[in-house]
Amino acid sequence: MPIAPHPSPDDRPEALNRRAFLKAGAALGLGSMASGHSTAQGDSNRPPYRGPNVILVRFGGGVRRQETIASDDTHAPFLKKVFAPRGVLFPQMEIADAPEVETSHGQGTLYLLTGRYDKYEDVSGRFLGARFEPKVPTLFEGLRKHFDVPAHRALIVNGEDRTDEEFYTFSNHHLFGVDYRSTVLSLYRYKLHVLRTDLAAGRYRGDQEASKRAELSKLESIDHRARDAEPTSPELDAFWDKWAGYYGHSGLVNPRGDRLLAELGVWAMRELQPNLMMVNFNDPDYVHWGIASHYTRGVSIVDEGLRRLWEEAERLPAYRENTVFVVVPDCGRDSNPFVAVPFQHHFNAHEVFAAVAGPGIDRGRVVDRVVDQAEVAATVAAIMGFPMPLADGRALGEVFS
Amino acid sequence: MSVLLDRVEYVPVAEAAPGRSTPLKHVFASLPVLLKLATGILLCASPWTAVLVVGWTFRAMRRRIVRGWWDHSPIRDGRDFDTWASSMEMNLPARALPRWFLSERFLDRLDRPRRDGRPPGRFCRAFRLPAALIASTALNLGNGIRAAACTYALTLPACGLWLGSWYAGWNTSFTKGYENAFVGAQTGIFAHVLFIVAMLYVPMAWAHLAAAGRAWSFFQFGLIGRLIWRSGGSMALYAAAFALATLPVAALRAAPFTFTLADPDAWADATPAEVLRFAERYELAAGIYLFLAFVGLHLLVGRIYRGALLRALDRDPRLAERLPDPTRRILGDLQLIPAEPLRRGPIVQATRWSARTSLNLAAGLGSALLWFVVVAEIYVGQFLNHIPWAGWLNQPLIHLPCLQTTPSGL
Repeated sequence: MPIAPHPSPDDRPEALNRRAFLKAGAALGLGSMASGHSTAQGDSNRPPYRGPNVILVRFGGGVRRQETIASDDTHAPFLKKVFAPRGVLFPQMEIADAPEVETSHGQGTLYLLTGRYDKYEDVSGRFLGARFEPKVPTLFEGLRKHFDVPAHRALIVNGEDRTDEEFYTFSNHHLFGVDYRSTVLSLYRYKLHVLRTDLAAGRYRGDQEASKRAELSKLESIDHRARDAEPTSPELDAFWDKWAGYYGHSGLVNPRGDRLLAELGVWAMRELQPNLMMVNFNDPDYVHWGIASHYTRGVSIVDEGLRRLWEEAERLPAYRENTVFVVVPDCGRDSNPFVAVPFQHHFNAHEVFAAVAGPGIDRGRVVDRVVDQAEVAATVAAIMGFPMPLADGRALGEVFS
Repeated sequence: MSVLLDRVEYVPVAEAAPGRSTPLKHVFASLPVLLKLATGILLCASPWTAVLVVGWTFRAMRRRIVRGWWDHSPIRDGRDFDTWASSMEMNLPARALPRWFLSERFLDRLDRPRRDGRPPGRFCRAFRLPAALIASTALNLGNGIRAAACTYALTLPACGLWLGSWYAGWNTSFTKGYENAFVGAQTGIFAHVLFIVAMLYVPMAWAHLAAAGRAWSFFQFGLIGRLIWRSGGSMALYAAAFALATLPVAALRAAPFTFTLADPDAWADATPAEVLRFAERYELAAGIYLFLAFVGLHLLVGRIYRGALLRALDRDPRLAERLPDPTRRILGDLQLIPAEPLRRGPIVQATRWSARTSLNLAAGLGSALLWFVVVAEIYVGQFLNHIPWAGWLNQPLIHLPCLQTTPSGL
């Protein structure tokens, strides 16, 4: 069943006319920007979101085409043999090759979320730090500024060892920002929840309480930009309470690595029903340590995570026939023939791909032209019906049937 | 390397008679040396041929050690080192740089009188020819296998554990501090300790092995430990030199990861044969440094050893009884084993003992830290360009002087 796009809150054509939509959307977006700063809570005239849900899967940690979509010996059989044939595949997507464009995870994630190749530096100047502040609104901010979408329905699912990525929930753009931020699900957030609830319940006393309070302050300082915002919500608390009820507090029962991200994503779809969810898979990146099988194992784990999310979307009424999946790596990996593990790093890894599938999306199409990773943000915005006027990339027209 | 060759050592380059020398003659005189060095560099291109380099280096060490003792010997006045060495039948190389292939005294070997004293006939010389052609190769191979085997006997446990701990340890990336995550990390730390302890010992054992030419001498832990203790400061400086020399090796091993950074498309359409050709040339060029550093570091420890052993004998001549037979025979013939130990008064002895103990403890700690720097260099190199097996199991300045960066799949 084709999805009704949302060129405007009041006038949604049954079939997507991308060109008309983008024009209308851009006008709306610029209009809403021109209206000045407003808060998500204060914008009572924003329409509710009724359109297709989008699950943006960062096939991350940097992957090459060879091990995913380009070879019959793929380590991502679901992506190549099931998912891509059901949608549109862009096998020649590239990250711009320009002096300030870096092919890494934080940068790639923000290129996807903002549609721009901005130069990013760690906010605290930390060596190898990746706490980047987007300069223009992210997809989540665009969605929440335009539609009445609660924070717990604009989700980023993050890995536990990349707390820097907790920083990508909102931009420092004066018309967007923290009031339109996304909510992060991660083991880091879970630890925060457990500490807050345990301290509030008076579970600790004396030195132990002081130690736990210090630990909480340390964890909260990681995302210090959001300290003025509401740290949690009843929906989120209920989510984590349920998670704790099932997996306990040890952290040793729940799945680990990217399997955890898939689990969190599936739980989020069941419990929070996000309209826009980005799952930042990362396991293939562990090949930085030089063990080739860690890479192919990581690719397989992400592929399995994608399959789980896809099957859950087919199973749940809130998502069935109403969810578009966008799968795209944050960056590629090097293909250096002079080393034993050609894909150990991603210093100059501009070659990626994208696959989009779901209702309203063309099926079985392979777009044989070079497209740009910065176009993904505008494409997601086009699917969901809100503008991204500050994104450089244009929506990928071939996506729409 | 010339720094490591003694000023009085016989170096063919300087052999031309003064006054009659011309630049052309110098060039011709240098050719054998350059040829020997070039051969060594070429042999560093493969781990199989690098065994010959190890053996050649140990033969050069032996000559340097014995020559150093000769320079301290009271019997040297008016005598020629090579004549004396020949009389001792030590099989020492005839030059500071041993030969790679031919017998050291090729013509002498062919013309050697028969057992009955008659000169060899044409048939006899022809019969001797094949062995004379490969005599040095055989010696290099035998010495190389022996030295590499002894070195591996003490260092392979650490290197093997590195290999395992690196693989198993990083499984924690997927499982995030799982119940057994400590195994990989602790195995790695245990391997570091093993490596450091081994490398505090191995260099002095190399020299002892080179001097004696007996495999079991490498494992004379008490004797070698004593020599190390007597040379604490020198061994700390040696560890510093080793750590410094390892830095370019780590850089050379890691460098291939940068080959495509500037322009990834430049090699995108290259055939495996083209890539292989480039990679092999790179390894060959890297051999220049590997060969010189490997030989230089071994000659340096040989120099430390020969002095340390003489000092130890001065303090305790009974130590000679524990020396391998060839070493004891050489030192005895050179009259370097004193009849009585050096006597000092109790106050001097106590003062010296406490000062030496403090300094040696500090030097030992410093050496351990410097060998840890070597470990860190190996790890950083592996992170930048992971060489799956050889990266852990072959450290070019310790085991086989071979870079082994060319991917096996090419």
